Amino acid sequence: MSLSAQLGAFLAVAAGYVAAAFAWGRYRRRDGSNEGRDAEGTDEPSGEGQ
Amino acid sequence: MGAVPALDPLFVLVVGTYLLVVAAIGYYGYARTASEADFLVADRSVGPIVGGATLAATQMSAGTLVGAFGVHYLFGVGFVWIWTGLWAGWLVSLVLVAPQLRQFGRVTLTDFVAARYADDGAGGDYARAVSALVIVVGYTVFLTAQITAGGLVLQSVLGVPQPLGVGAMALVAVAYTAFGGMRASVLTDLVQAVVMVVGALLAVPVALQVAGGVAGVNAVLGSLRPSLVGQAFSAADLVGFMAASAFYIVAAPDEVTRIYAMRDAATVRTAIGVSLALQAVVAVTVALLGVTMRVLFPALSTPDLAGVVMSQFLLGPVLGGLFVAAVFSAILSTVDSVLIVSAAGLAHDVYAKLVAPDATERTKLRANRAAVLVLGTVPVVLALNRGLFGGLIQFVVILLLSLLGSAFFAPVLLGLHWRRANTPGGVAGMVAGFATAAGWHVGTDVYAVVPATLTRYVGDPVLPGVAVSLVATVTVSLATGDPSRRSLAPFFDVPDDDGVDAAED
Repeated sequence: MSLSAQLGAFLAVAAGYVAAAFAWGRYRRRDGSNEGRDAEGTDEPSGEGQ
Repeated sequence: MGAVPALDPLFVLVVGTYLLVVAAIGYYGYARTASEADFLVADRSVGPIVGGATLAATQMSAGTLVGAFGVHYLFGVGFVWIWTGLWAGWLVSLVLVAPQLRQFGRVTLTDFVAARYADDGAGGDYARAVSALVIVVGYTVFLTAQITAGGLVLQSVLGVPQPLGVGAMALVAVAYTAFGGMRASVLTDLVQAVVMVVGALLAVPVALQVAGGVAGVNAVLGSLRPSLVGQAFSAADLVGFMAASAFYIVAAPDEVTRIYAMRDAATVRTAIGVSLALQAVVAVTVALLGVTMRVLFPALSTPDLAGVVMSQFLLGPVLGGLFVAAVFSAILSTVDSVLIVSAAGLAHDVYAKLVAPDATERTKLRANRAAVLVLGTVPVVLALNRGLFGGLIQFVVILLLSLLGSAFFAPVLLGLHWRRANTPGGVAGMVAGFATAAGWHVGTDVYAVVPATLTRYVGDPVLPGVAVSLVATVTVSLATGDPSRRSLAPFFDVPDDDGVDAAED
C-alpha cells in the first residue's frame, strides 16, 4: 500500500469517527429527555447510566 | 544529528513570546483561583470548543509531538492506525461514560469510585484511597516520559545537559500547575491545540516540498524498507496498542477531570466530537511529517527528536520556533493535567477526605499545591533512569495507558451500568487489573518470564489486565452482597420500597 493510499484510508476512517461523534450528540439533543436538566447545569443524576 | 545549531534571534523571539503568553495565562488562572473547585474543575464553566480543545490537548502530549513523531520516523506510517483504537474508546466514553460522569458532577474520577463503591465501612474513602494510589503510581510513570521528552528537547535546542533540562522542565511544570490550576490549564490547552493544528498543517507543505512531494517520500521510503509505507508492527502489537489507548481513554482520570469542568452533559458530547476532529488533523500531519523526516534525515541517533530536528533545520525560525513552542506547550499542558489529578489523589482524596475532613478551603488549596510540588519531583529522579521503563517515549506513554486502562475500565463501566457491581467487586477489579498489567509488563519487558507463545498473541499488558479486572469485578460482586441503596442512588433509579434498602449499611 502506498503512503497516500494508507493515509487516505486513515482519513476516511477518521472522518467516520468524527461524523459518528457529532451524530450521537445531535441524536441525544433531539431525543434527550434529560437535556433540560443538563442545560440548567444541575448536578442531578439523570438515570442515563441505566 | 550534528552539533546544536546557533540560535536564530527570531526563533528565540517566537519561542519566548509563546512562553510569555502561557505564563500570562498561568497568572490569570492563579488570580482567578480561590477555592479547591476552581483549582480542580475551573468552576464548571468550560464550553464545547474550549472543552474539545482541552480534551484533545490533554491527550496529545509529548507522546504525540515527540513520541509518535519518533515512532513514525523509526517504523513508518502504519503506526497511525493506533488512533482508531483510541477513538473507539472515545466513542464508548461518549455513549456510556463521559456524559454520565458529568451529570454525576463531582471533581475527580476518585469521587466517582468513592460514591459508587461506598460500602467499605468508611463511606467509600478506602475505595477512594485505592483508586488514588493507582492513579498516583500510574501517572508517575507518565510524568517521567513527559519530563524526559522536555529534557531531550531542551538538550537539542539549547545544548543544555539532559539532567539539567529534565530538572528545568519539571520546575516550570510544577510552578505553572501549582499556581494556575485547572483554569490556566484549559486555556493553555486551547492555545496549544490551535498551535499544534496550525503549526503541523503549515509544516507539512514545507517539509514535503524539500523531500520531493508525497510521491518522492513514498519512493524513498519504499526503497529504504517497504514496511515504512506499509505496516511495521505485527497485528498483535497493533491491536495491543489500540486496546491500551481505547481502554484507558474510556475512564482516563485526567480527561475525566476535564469532563467535570464542562458546563453539562450536552457540552461534553459536542466537545468529544470537536476533540476527535482536532486529533484527526494532528494524527495525519504527524505521521506524514515523521516519515518525511526519515527521508530527509535518515540516520538520527534519537528518533524522539525527529520533530525538533525538523523545526531546527527545515522550518525556518518562525515556524520552527512555533513548533518547538508547541512541543513545550504540549508537555506543559499534559503535565499540568496529570499533576492536578495526581495531586488531587493525595490532597483531595487522602488528606481532605481521610486525614483532615474539616480543613478550610484555603488549607485544601494549599494541600493541593504542596502535593503538586512533591509529585513533580519524583519523576525527575525516574527520568534520569529511563531504562526503568525502557525505550522510546511513546512506549512509556503506552505503558501508562495499559496500567490505568486495566485498573479503571471495568470498575467504571460496570459501576455506571450494572446495578449488581458492588464495593468489594469494584476494588478487586481495580487492584487485580492494575497488578496484572504491571506484572505482565515486568514479566515480558523486564524479566522475559512470560512464555513467547503467549506474548505472540497478546501484544500489550492491557489485554490480560482488563480481562482479569472484568472477571474480578463480576465474580467478586456476585460472590458478595448487594450494593447499598446509598451507592446506587446517584447513578440508578432506586425506589424506596424495592428491597434494596435492606442492604443499606
